[in-house]
Amino acid sequence: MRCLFLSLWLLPSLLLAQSRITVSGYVRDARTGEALIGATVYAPLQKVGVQANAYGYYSLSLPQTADTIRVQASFIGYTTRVEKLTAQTTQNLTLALTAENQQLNEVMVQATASDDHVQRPQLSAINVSMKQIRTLPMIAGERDVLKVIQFLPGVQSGNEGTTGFFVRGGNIDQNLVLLDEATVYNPNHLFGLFSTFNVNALNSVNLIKGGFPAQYGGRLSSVLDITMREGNRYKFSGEGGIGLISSNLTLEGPLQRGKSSFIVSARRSYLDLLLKPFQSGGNSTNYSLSDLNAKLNYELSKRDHLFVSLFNGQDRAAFTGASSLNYGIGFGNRTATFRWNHLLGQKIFINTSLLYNDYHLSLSTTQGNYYALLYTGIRDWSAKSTLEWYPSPTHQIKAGLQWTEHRFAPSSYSAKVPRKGNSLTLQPDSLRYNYAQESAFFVNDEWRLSDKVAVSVGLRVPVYSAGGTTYARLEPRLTAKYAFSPQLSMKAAYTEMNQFLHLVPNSTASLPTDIWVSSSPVVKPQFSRQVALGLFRSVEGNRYELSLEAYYKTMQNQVLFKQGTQLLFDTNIDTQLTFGRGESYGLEAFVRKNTGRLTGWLAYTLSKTTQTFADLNYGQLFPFTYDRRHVLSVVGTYELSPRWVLSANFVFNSGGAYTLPAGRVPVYSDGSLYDGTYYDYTSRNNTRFRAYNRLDVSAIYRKKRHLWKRAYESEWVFSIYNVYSRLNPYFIYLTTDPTTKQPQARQVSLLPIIPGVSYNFKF
Amino acid sequence: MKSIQLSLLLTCLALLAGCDRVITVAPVAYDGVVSIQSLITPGQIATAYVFRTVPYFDASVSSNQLVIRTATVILIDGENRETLRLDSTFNAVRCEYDYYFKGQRLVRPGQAYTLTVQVNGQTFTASASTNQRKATIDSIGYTSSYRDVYGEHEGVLVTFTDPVGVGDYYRYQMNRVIPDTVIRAETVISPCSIGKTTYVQEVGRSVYEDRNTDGTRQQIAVEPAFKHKRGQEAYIKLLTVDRNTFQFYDNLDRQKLAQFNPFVEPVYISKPGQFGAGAIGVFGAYAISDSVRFVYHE
Repeated sequence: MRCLFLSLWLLPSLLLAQSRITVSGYVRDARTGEALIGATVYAPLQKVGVQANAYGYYSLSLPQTADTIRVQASFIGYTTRVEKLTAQTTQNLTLALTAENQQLNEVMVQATASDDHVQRPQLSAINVSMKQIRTLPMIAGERDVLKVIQFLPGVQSGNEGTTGFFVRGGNIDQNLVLLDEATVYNPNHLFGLFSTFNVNALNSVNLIKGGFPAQYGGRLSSVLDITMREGNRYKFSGEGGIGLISSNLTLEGPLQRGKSSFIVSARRSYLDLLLKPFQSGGNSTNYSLSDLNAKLNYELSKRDHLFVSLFNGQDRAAFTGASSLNYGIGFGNRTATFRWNHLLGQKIFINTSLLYNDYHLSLSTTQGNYYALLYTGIRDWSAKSTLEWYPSPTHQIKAGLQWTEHRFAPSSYSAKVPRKGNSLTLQPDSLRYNYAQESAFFVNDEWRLSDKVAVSVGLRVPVYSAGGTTYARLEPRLTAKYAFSPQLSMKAAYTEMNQFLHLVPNSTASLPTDIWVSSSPVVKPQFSRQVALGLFRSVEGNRYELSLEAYYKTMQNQVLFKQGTQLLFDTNIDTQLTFGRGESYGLEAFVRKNTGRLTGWLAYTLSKTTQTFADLNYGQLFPFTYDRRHVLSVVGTYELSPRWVLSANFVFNSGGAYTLPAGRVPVYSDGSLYDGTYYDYTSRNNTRFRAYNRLDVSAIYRKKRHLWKRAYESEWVFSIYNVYSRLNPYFIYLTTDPTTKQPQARQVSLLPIIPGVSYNFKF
Repeated sequence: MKSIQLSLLLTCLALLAGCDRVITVAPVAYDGVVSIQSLITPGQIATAYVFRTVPYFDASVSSNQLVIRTATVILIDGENRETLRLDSTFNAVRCEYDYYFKGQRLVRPGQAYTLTVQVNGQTFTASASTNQRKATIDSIGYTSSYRDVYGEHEGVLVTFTDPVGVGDYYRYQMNRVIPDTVIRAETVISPCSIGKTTYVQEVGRSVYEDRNTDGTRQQIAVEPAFKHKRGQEAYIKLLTVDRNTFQFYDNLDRQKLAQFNPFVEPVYISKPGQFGAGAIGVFGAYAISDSVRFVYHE
């Protein structure tokens, strides 16, 4: 019955398609052959357009109205290319676009950025150009994707020094971070100072916060879809950078000119080596991070394309301080992706992937008289196949299946430091693993009903099995657009999402003592409903992009530890958890300037997020730890001259919430080991950190140089992180003055002003 | 090149430096409540600590500043009614006077008692019965190193047999005289006890219940609060406390552990307690076992 309905629904399109011309192919960078993901291919006479997919592939069906047709391809930062074609029934056309900075000076570059953000039935999605990411100032001159993501509306960082990002009131585990389709469970290096993604190896970064298309699932709050570059198909080239904290090198080139290529990118820090001479006897720090990205692609034929991507990011750190905090930590992510693109005719694109990812965190830390041990890990094997079908210009259909096996290793322990003997240790080999199976079917149709109205309607059916329990869910997805004009539209979206993996955060720990646990008979899947409504406007041919969005989201089965839980060596953490619900709503304003010498954006978010747990806070509602009323980000890049580029970013966040005892209770017949002072907590998260704000600036000096008669591009990056050295809060703890016995609050801050310089080269 | 070196140095120093400083936190709105603790046992005179809780950062920190002197504390035992009077004892370990309300009559066994505390027109009432069974200590031992969920430390081992029937709760007590050189495990020596010996009555950190060990012979290991010297003698007692006492001190114990351990969710004091919504505290009864002499052999 359903098949019949589907056939009837698509029949008009199929019949019409018989009298149409289909132009399909790839949109690529003319110099490197890199896929231009999200490029727009448009037929101006027919007023029909499509967007290139994650591999740069497009398929455009046009009515046969004349002997010739015109096809125009555009992409932000590239010169629009117009092709005139004879009107054959089917045509294969690769569109190679030239980047703006490769044009001769006399060529006028148009502001032809796509206005997809107005016209597509997609809400709450933002693509950040790699060019912008490369110019923004970050800590010690390191470029960083996740830091830039945190400047977008609806997104915020945690406290300084904490990892991850928070989207629309969701916890960090509610973000699905994908690197070439493989899940990256922890996309950060230690303290969240840097992400694990090496900018030189990346092609595109796309963040979705709501109105999720059906191909995405498994998380409540966002999808960060990152695609690695494929490597230069035409010539061998390389780029690298030498910074204060790390250096990196990327090599790429063709394996078979025009048909296959490789890219290898590596980064290694040397902070551990630099700090050695400065370390005193009381304090010692040892920290290193490393990343390796590699990708190989091979065009088997015009219809078949293979990709292999590998990623390995590792952190190792140890800090022994004379003061209160000591830790040793090692964590890392490994991913591997094997993909096969296959074209079935000109209208069906099939991608089949085999994926592997492995994340582990091993932590031992001592704070005060207590120490904690943690080993948490997830290893996934996945298979996935997605079909993209372009039956007509009015429909873009995606359908697919995916299956994943998860293996969990959650275990942790916290205890008082022994006066004698050694603290306990965790042996990962001896842990008991838990397994779970996750599969999903999805179908999504982006359907243009008229010039003004378009919808994206989808359904995802996830099924999750663990511990003898199976959860099957239906997740409807709907986004509708109404265009008042080509430059102004209104969109609305409704999504339901389920999440079967949970990261249990600890409210008081300052290090990443987060533990991943699986849904089980006890731990129900997290579930959210989100409604979003937005106005979208483009100005001056999308030179300026404006949006105003409002959202309301409810979240069920949120997870926290029960109060006072002292974790023991135990992988059965389910029994230590308590469950509640969350609610978040907000307003997000976004103004972005896409072209010209000055580019950048301003993002403002007004939001409120609360949680309610029956077992916590006397069952009363309390603010989410990362509930921040106001978040403002201003990001700008100014091309002063062909040689000098100046950038700055400013961020202001209202303070996050933490729990402070309201009262002090004297007790004189308690245990003699204690000090007779107890806390009267009246409500959870009842106090706010100081507002967080910071200004970073950078200047980039570019010059072409020669080495051994060979030209190469060089660039010096000078940056200052936290220009006015504001001591933003990392965490706050309570002490008692030993002399006056007066209780005190102490704030620990991590990052004062940090100047940076790095040297980058490209050949 | 020099500028690069300077930048390197500055960056390294900046990352090392960080900052840890005392801050002023905007006070959380808090209306102080009455804090009452009164534990009675047959054969002893009743006492009650009556204090006012204060905002967390309040300047009042000593017993002298926190005691509610105007409180009226009344202990009723059937037909007998006794008003407890304010008294104090010098606590050499805390180096301050402990203030409490004290009666004049001995508490009787097998009797139901009601404690009434009146403060500024508010009345708080709770009841307790002195019907606990005296425990019998089978033996006392010592270990220089034992491990429990709180870590590894020395311990006094108390072995006893729990009588059949769920609902027995225990607390440990050790009385001894200690010299100032061993006064604190954390090596903080009270300035008031320098050069003196101090009599201390240590109360154990944990309270125990027999829910899963009913009717069995069991051993508890207790971490002493004060250091010891070889040959030092002490007198160990086991208190059989009532359910209210167990619940109150167990709650406090879990909160204190959560305070010390930064990796644990905070524990709230259970409300409403035995005295209702306007007061925190406990009125409980306990029986004391015969004391057993113990000598530290190492």
